[in-house]
Amino acid sequence: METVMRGYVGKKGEIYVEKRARELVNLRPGDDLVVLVRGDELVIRRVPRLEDILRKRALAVISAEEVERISEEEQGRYK
Amino acid sequence: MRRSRGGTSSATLVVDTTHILPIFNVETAAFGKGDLRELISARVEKLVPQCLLIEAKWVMYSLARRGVIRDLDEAIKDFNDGLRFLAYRRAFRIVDSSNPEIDLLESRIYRALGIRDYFDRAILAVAKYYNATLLTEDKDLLSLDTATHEAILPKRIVNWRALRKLLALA
Repeated sequence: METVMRGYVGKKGEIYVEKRARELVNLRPGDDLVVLVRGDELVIRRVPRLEDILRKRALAVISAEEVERISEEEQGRYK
Repeated sequence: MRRSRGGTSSATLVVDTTHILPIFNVETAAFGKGDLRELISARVEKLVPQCLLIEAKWVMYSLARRGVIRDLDEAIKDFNDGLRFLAYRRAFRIVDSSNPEIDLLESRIYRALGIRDYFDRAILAVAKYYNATLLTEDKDLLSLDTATHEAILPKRIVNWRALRKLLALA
């Protein structure tokens, strides 16, 4: 779903984005961003913080041996 | 591990797939997110051989195929978030794992030791190339005789448990 909000470019070229838009994507002062240019569009993505990574509930918990086993199986496909 | 008086260390560490999986939201019994936090806080340079990103994604897809991971879309998003964290934050440095010198080392490891797993050979070669300690939970790699094969193997190969002691985190 797309949400349309306003922003503007300041005198020194700074880009301002409406507060609600920042809140929707959890942007905070000091965040690192990745900016993609697509034609005449700018796509701004926030770089995850360590806390973002740690906070998530793990998708899976496996053993280190299982990691090795999976890798060997996958490599076997290309032998 | 050598530590300077200022509490910083000039040591370099090459990590294995197990140690980056929590970044992609997959944990192992040997290394979970709490361990990841400790590793990141350790004052050593942490290198991720680029080829391990492929291995990590293989693990994710394999777990999805087997139903261990139920929501593939969520897993794909988590993987991409993790990759963005790895690529743009400075907690780890992604390094080339197949430059000509590393490739040569990898081939020499294959010829001398017959290690069949390409990723194992590659991380050994990367660790040797950067004169780094290799962090791995792989029992076969941990049992390698690094002294006998010092020309092609890293000086030190340790698991997380041993590294925590070396870094005095335990």
